[in-house]
Amino acid sequence: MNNNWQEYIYTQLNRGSYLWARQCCSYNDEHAKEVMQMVYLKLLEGKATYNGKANLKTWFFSVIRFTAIDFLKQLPTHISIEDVELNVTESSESEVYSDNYLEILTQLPDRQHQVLLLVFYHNLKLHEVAEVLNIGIGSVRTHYDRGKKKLKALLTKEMAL
Amino acid sequence: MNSEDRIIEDFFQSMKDQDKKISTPPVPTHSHNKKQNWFPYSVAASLLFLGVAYVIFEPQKPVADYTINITLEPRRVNATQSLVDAGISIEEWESPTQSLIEDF
Repeated sequence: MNNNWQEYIYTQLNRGSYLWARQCCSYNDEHAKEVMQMVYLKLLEGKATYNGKANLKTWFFSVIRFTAIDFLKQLPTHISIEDVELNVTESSESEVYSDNYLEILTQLPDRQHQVLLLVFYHNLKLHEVAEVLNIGIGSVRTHYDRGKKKLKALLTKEMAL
Repeated sequence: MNSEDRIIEDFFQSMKDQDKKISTPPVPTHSHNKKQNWFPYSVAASLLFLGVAYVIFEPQKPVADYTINITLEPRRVNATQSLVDAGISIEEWESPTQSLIEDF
């Protein structure tokens, strides 16, 4: 049983969970890798154990989210100007588009942003989203409806430009 | 599905397509079982190895080039021995002042 669910995470959820970690870390790849290392360490040390009550995917996404929150809290809030590296590169068309969707999504409030990602990107149902975000199903519905309206408005505005 | 959802679906689908170029880091390859504490086992194995190595490679004591054989044999005594090996007979004894009597 123990190895079965871990095996399922490693084989079936690895890709989606990494992308979720990346989204929880403001799309920072390095931070997402750190978070996934911490999450896998929790599994190996038995600090995070699946008890079978919830859906495995929602449980694992919840672990990733809490780990990402803890990780981001530890980061320094200010960076010395000496540590900042400026890289000027020419961006391709796809990168422009990639930046574009991030730009649109980051205009949404955090909760709406996360609810829409979990529903439309990770194909979770609303009650599963409530488990991942550890909030009530009513709040999820509210964030879902408002998020959709706001995102649609942003996309319509984007298409009009 | 209404048109609002369709627009959002398309948006996230294009986002997924963009994310396909993102490489996923490999899953840790070590054992999935709970981590064991190997320290006591490693100490025991090291001590055992040292013991076996000492027995096998024990330093040899230097061996002398010659041998000394000591044989103990009982001493055979066939006759009793006189306690006085040499002595002056009483008949041969001469007084130190005898010459005075004879000369004077």
